[in-house]
Amino acid sequence: MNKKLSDRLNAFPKNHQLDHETKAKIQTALQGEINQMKTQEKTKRGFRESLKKSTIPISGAAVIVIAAVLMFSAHNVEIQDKASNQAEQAAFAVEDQQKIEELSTVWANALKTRDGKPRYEMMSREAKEKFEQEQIVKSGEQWNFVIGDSSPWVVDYEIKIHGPNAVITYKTQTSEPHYYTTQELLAFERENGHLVVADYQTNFENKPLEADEGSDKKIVWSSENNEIKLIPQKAVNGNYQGVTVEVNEMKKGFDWVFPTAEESGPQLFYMDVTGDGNEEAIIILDKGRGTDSSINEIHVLDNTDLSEIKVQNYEEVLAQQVQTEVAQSGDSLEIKVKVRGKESQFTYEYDAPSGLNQEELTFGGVVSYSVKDQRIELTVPGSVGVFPTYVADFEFIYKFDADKREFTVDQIDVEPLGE
Amino acid sequence: MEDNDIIMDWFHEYSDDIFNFLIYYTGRMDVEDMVQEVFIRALKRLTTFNERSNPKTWLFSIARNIAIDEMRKQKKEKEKQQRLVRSFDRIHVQSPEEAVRADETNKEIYGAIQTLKQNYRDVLILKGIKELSVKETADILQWSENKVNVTYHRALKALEKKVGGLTDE
Repeated sequence: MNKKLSDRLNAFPKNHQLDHETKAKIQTALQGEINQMKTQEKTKRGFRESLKKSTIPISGAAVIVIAAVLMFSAHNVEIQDKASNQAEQAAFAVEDQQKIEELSTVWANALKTRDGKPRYEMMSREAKEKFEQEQIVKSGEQWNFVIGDSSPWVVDYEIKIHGPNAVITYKTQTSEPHYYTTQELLAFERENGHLVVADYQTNFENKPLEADEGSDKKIVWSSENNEIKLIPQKAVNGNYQGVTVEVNEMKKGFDWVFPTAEESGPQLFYMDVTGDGNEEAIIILDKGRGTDSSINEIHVLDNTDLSEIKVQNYEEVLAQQVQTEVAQSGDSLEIKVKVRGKESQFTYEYDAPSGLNQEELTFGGVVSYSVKDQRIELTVPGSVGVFPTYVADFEFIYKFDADKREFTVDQIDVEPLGE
Repeated sequence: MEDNDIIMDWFHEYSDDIFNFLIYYTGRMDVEDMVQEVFIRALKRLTTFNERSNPKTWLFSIARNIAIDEMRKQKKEKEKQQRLVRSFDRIHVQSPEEAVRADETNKEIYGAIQTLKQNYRDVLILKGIKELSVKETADILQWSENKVNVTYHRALKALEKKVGGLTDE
């Protein structure tokens, strides 16, 4: 039956395509990013050159120009280009800093007033084409000069000049008010004797200012309706070390450790699993994933004082209540399982090239907790082989023992995983 | 720096593939921004790409991370919206089943996939619907091939439980 189901999945339609306009838009954005990376590279180079220049007297520019001529006569095009750039940088630095600053101010004010016309007028031919394309993407073939967004709007800006490049950092805000920052990079060059903007890029856009405050990003995980909040205390060597749990305005710290891996956020549930009519806070941490492994850890907290309620250790249960036997027979394994005295047996097709050197199932590679129908459940599959092949799922269902104030394993089901 | 231009080649080659994957993974049709984000993120992390790896599986793993982030954001946003505008009329949003243009049975299967746990959804969409090989799926999810096989098998079983006799026809 699974084969049929698998075939059905294979037959799901896969002919969705991005339309041409969207593709063009994404390509423009990608090209913009690529150009921006190139501009940033240029900026760094320009900045390095400005620093170098500060230690050389003004006559240094002339020396560089002479060096360029010498290099040209030596037919070393690459070096000649570099020398020309140096001469160009020097010329920009000496004569045009003020002009670049003036033009950058006009550029920044244009975003403030959302009028792109002054920008367009100071652009090189190539930059104008780029601008037109962007406006077409934004407002169609009948494009206009309106730039930016109505919110957030520019409230302030700061301009820094590095050689022929300018970096403009805008502070923007919304009506809520929330504050953001946007940064643009401008690269100037001469066209027909005039300084023009040869290229421009947005380095980042509307980055919330709060995100910059403090070096640690504030991470908070919440249960579905925000009854539980879990805040990691610190991240060290790829692990969160210590957490603060907040439930009903009560807070408590715990020394739990779990990986910072971006995909494996904790699972938080707020429900009554003890049957006393009050909800508990249930926290399932992903302790790690790797080749053939996925390990959870569970914590259940009483919502009145955030004290931890013990959950019986599955290893203890396996050791005391489960026995397994594995025997190889040709290309298959005969597996016997005895759970709380009740025996069962099944066969698993298994081709072990070098034979199987194990007499019972191994556990612990996958430990997966879940909460279903107000009960805690745990799946711990049993495996064979050094690189585990999982042959049967062992499903534990817990119940709350009020006398012991502990969740104990109530039921153990075994489900073979044969093909 | 010219190495960055390879992203454009990858975009030509894999953008529709990534688009299809994101539609199934998120159950939404408006995933164009996510497609763009996949390639921009890839561009910015190009130095971390191992040339011996397969760009397709690398891009899929980026797409999957972006989709997971987006779904988390979406969930939070939805909760916020529900709190704020309980009394407003709901805007019609295409359901995942509508989004994937599935026939009746497939709709039911797809709907059931969406209720399964993430590991299962991953393999069912990558290996099942997208028909990626076991190796490709393993690369994307950073699992062993054996784990892909076992999880796929389990996921089909779980799916079978949910959809009942649908496949007995």
